[in-house]
Amino acid sequence: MLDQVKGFSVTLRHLFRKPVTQEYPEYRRPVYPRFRGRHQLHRHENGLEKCVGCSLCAAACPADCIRVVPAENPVEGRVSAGERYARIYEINMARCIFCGYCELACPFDAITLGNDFELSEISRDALVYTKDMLLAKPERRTPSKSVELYDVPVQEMERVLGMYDVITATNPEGAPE
Amino acid sequence: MAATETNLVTVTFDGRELQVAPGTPLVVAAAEVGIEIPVFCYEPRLGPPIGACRMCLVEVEIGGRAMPKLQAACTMTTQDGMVVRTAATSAPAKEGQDAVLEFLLLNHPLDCPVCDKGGECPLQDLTFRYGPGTSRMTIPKRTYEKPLPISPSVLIDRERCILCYRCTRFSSDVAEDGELVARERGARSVIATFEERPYVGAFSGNVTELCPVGALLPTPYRFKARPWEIVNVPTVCTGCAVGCNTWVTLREGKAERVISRNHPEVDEGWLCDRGRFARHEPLVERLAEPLIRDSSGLHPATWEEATRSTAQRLRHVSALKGAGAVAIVTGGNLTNEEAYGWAAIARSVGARTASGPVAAAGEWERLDPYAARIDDLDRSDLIVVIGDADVADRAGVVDLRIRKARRAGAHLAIVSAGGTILERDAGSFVAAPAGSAAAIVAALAGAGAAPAGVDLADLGARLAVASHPVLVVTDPIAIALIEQLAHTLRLHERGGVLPMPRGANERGARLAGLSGGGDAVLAGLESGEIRAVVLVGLDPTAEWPEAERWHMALAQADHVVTVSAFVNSAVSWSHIVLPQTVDHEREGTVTNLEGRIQRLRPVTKGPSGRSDLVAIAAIAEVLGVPVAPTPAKVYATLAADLTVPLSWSQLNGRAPLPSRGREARAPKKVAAPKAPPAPAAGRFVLVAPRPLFAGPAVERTAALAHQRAPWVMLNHADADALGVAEHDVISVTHAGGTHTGPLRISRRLVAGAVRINWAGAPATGDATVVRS
Ligand code: SF4
Ligand code: SF4
Ligand code: SF4
Ligand code: SF4
Ligand code: FES
Repeated sequence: MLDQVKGFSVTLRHLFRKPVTQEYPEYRRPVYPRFRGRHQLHRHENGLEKCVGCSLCAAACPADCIRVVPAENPVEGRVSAGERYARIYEINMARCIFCGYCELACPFDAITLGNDFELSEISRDALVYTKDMLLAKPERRTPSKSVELYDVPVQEMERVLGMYDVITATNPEGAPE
Repeated sequence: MAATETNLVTVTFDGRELQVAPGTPLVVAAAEVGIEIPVFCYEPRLGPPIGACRMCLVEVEIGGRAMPKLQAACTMTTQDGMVVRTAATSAPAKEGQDAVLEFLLLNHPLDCPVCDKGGECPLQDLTFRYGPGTSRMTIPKRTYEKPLPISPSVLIDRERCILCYRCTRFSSDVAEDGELVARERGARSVIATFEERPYVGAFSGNVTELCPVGALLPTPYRFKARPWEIVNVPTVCTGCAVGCNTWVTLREGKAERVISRNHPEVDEGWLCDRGRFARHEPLVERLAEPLIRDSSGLHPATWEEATRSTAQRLRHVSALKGAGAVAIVTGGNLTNEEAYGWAAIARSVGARTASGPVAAAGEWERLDPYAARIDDLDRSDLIVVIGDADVADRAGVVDLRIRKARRAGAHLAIVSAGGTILERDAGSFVAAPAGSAAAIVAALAGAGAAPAGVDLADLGARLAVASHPVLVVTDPIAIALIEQLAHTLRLHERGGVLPMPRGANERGARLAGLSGGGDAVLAGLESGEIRAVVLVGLDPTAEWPEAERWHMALAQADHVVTVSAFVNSAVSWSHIVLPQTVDHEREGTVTNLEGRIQRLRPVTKGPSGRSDLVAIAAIAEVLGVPVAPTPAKVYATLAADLTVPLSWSQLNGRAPLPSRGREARAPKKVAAPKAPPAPAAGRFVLVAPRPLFAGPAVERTAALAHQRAPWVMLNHADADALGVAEHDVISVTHAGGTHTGPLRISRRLVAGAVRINWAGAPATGDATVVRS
């Protein structure tokens, strides 16, 4: 009898608590900076692509979702900084498991995984990201927690988070550039 | 190693004892007890080791006394009581090895991500497995302009070269062209050609496989694929009748390169540039669908229509005109199974068949009791090459095998009109009038007199005493003559004759039932006896002698069916055109010049998407003859008839060549051949054997364009008389057309002859030579 009362009291207590559920997409919870989301291909400052089409990312990829077809850099109008460049660079986001191995494998830091996870599409074909898409900045950006918080213990993180205002999709860090 | 029990020595490697023949390189001996000593420059196929790279350093102790310095395990050979410690157990050897790798990498660029060798690179692999792991190099590395084309098919990146001299050794000691050399000294040494001339040789592509780093790479494969993205399919080259074993590299549905699959009895790991680089591309030029001619020309048709129509026409003609009114003609490049299918069709319509241009020059089975294997060359003490054609033009890598035998001490005797590549290294050379191979063979067999001015006494004496002579006749002469000579020389008891079929699978096609020669078919077409002709994988107007006559004859035939991969000039006479697959799209077996049956595996699909055997089976079905549409089943039927009863599954890997019976019967006497007519005054005898670099695939390969570059060769006296000098552009007009190219002057080419590398329809006779 007493046990039942105890049990229901727990239920009742929780019934009147503030829910932990966060409304998405109204409220977009920031992710940790090292969260692995959509890939980004990078360029050197002079505009040349960092990727030389070496296929090491494709070799490392456990989901076998990267396709690289290299070609020789044209004499006029080089594409990359190396002898060759990736004529075709595709990642099938539908197969990607966001393990980040490609980023680790790349000898030129040409590919990194960003924070963006809002990648849903109507068709599977649209999930095959081409080189142009990967070189461009993502259309929507996922807010990321402050870099200072990187690698801090979780409890500490929650404490600090309480000091933050609610970060919404309109915050400067999340805005498209 | 032929070592008897008594002369073995005991050597200890890292504590493991081994009984081995004295004089074995330590790297080889160590491998026998399962110890790997890493190497870069050691490659026994290139001749004696030279100890250039020092990767194989080991610590050696003989008779209890340590040698004062580390020794190269490739040049050091086994002696009794040797104790060898490799880097695995000896700290000094490990230190030495680390230092060598660090030294090799001093100037080696960090190119792995952009280097095509990356992933299949011995330098990468050995550095990873044995290397020090870090670099202390902080100063800038040596740089060169790169990549430089060393030939249109090979690129050199000098920064990556580790100076192992494998490439120069190949050039000087295997291909013996001496074109690749090391220039400068020390850290400035580079691999180069003389005066930056392109490295042109029939075997130049092999250096790209020998190079242990990415310094020499094949141009057509540049940036095509990385080793982890490809599948290598084991198959066989059908560029010529040698049948070199190959891997074809497949990436994303395209055959991107061909590399060797070393069959020691056939190719020893070498390929010629034709086999390596020739491509049946571009695909847009390939025939992709069957065509049927109506009143307004050739129109696309379905396979069903085309095969049915073919069968009906053949049946109709044979029913109306009787047996022999149909002819099925191939150039000897079908698989055994396809040949069997066509032969079955031929039997059902009473067709005549042909698998080569001249019947008498194609009766290869006559030579069977005397036939040599390719590796008989290694054991031979005398190699006799008779004919105006170069061995390399007839049977690519056999040329390298002959050179190897010569280096090992065999005497190489050549009887030809001169101007071949092989004769430069011959032990003896007998100049003979152009086109006199038949007369020479007859004379050696005692069936006729030698052509005037040709002294065969020395050669005859050598042949009489040789213990293992191998005879090679490169010109297409009557096989019965060769048989007669072989019998006279008793070549079924010692040595043998190496057959030189023209088509890659001419022997197999004959064995499967497509015997006969094109000469009889041509006569039949001209006389009107043959009303329908099927040309399978062959354009006789471009590849066979008497091109002009073939044109006329085909125009007269009621039905011409062409089975071809590309549009050729026979297509313009054809009523039905069926697309054909090419070598790496086929499945089946082919028989090489020795009679070795090897398997072809399909790498890609042809543009028509249909295998030739399926089309053949469809035609056969209409005719009511059973031909299975799968190669394995056809092979099973065929194997029952073949003299070599190997099952389909036994043909995997490196195909064996079972020994044959060598009972020789006395051959029938053959009349001595007539001497070729002397040319008219002011004209030259034409010597124009079909070059290795000829044919539809070669013509479509950019990387081989330089190999096809036309040239004209004259004797120095003739050149003087004409007032022309080396490199002058000369025009040679002969029955087959006009050939224009820079002049090469030869002192060996007989006077009054002109040699050209004419890739068109075979031409003989005489020619006019003018400066153009
Ligand atoms: S994150 Fe992992 S699965 Fe996704 S592309 Fe990179 S390596 Fe492949
Ligand atoms: S992204 Fe990096 S690893 Fe992938 S192909 Fe480009 S350079 Fe190579
Ligand atoms: S080019 Fe290659 S094979 Fe030739 S010496 Fe250099 S590393 Fe050796
Ligand atoms: S020698 Fe003949 S079989 Fe060998 S690679 Fe050359 S063409 Fe092919
Ligand atoms: S392998 Fe012994 S020195 Fe190169």
